[in-house]
Amino acid sequence: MSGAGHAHHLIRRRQLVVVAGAALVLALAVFSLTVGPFDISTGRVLAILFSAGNPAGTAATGTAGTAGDVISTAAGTAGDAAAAVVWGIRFPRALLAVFAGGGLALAGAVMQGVFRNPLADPGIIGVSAGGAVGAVSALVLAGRFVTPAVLEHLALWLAPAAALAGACAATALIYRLSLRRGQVDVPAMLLCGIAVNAASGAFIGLVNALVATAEEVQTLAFWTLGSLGRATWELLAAGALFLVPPLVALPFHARALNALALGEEDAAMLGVNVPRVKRALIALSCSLTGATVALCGMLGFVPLVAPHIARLALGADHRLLLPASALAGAALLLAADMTARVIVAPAELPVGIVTSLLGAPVFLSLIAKRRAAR
Amino acid sequence: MNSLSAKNVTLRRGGRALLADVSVAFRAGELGVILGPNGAGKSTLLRVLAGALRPDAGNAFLDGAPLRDYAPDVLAKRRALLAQENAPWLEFSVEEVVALGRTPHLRGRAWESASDRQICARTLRQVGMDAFHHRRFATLSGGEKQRVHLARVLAQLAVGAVGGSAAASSFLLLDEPVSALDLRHQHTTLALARSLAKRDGLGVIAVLHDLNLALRYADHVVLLADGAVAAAGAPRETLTCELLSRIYGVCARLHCPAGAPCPFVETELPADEDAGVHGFCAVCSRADVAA
Repeated sequence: MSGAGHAHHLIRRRQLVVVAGAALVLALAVFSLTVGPFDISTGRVLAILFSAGNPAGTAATGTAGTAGDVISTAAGTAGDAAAAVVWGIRFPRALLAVFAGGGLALAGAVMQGVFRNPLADPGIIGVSAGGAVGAVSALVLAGRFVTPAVLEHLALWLAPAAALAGACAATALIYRLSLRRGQVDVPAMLLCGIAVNAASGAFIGLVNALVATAEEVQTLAFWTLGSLGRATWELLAAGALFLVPPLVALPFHARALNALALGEEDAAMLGVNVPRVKRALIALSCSLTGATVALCGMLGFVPLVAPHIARLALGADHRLLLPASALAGAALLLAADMTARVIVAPAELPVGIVTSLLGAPVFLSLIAKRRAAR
Repeated sequence: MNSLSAKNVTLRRGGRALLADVSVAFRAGELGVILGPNGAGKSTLLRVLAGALRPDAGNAFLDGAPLRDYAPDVLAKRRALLAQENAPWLEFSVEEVVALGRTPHLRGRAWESASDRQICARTLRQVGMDAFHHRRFATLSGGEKQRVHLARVLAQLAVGAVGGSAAASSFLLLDEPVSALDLRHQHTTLALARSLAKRDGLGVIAVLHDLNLALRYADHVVLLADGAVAAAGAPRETLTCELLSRIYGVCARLHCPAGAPCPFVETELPADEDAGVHGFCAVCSRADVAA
């Protein structure tokens, strides 16, 4: 059985690649803790991470972002300050990069599977924009009806929930409009994305001009550009509710996604409950997309590029593609965020600019390749 | 005897009846062939029999029980459909496509077992594609893709399972399985379909266009016209030149040279359309003028 043996060895080798990818993400995450205006060596970071009594409790209140680094540095002795920066600022930020990057990439891989098209990216087809509209309207509207003190607590949960609803609504709309006789019509899908993106951009602009306070304008800018700068433990805890269940549940749908690649009728012939699986896949990937939009704004092209890299390395089997995409997305966003923090130091770029600069050429090359394949 | 049947099936789409009160029955251990002109409802009937389409009236039955009474994964092990149009975007390798056929057999397992892999290797060998197992599916020709999909649906029914065939009570539904194949592979594919029916006891139902292949290989034929059954039965008794001339709108002549294994049909456009089509049966030496 040379054929059977060959398949077995190939799968083994690919499983090892996934494990190596996980190790790479871990190394990148630790390295990212050393990057920033406040110089902390890798050895020092490891010492802080493995020291028994971690000062996370005291550091968690530190303000986020680069400015936080500087303030914390001034606040205590160099040693305490380093620990405070690592635990209070850089660690939650690295975690956010891993979860948001991994989550977005997983959502991208799943949507590409459901739409049976490598161009289905939550950003391009308007799912992220739908999420942003949900989050923005929830926050601005809630600001009109509840006191700021209540809003402070509510905002953490409200934004991801509203973003989820917006993302699901956008996906349902796009899916309905782009389905032709059981097959997804790609031009229709991309045109829907253009329309949804334009409409939501206009909506956010309108909110910006008409109702937003100066402070809210800042927040809205954050949503449209994308940044990991808001990372705190509280924000992570709120986001985890929407990120962790899909991250755990989606890999279990890998075989159904493989069958769906044949088309919905053939998948049904293989015993897959297509309507139920499709609903679950769309809801779970919208939860991922909505939560990342609420936590760090619209990060373009991560959901497109990461699964593409994973597919090139490991092939199209979703049992490997899903974890590999998540790892690739986490690594990409960690690297992009480090670049954003270093390239114009001591200021920092919104990381969305870096991911778009990276992703747009990949998107264009995918289109060129599909043209050539015709 | 295991059977797959449709009773009084009517199916409408957009105000038009694609199938009107169709009743057919196919038995395990036989090769059944559905024939008919374009738009007669052949693929629609095959999909109703597979449970892929729900009829507006009537029902499809497997062993006498309505298809909808079967759980999807149970049904998936009892019947497999090789569709005519296949997915445009499949980045799998050949062996990954075939392994998809094992989906209903995996239950809780994430990966195929050694015996799953052996079944896949064996069905690839049956369709003569074993040398291509590591190739990217997208790089194959149309006919090669069709044969790989055939291996996939064979793997779904566990044909050639090591240690006894689980396929005996299963039905294999093939929608124009030879449309993209060269002459040799048309014969090897239908010979395989026939041996699956005769040796493994499978019920095979194929939609074909080639009347001569139907005459050569079929145990049972159903001739559809305008969404209704025009004739059904054993091919040599059913496919008369008069009937073929009328249904297809061509002049059909049946010949049976001495020593030939079966009659063959020769067709051409009528010389004079106004005069209507003629059938001529060299087998029974009878000339007919069809309506």
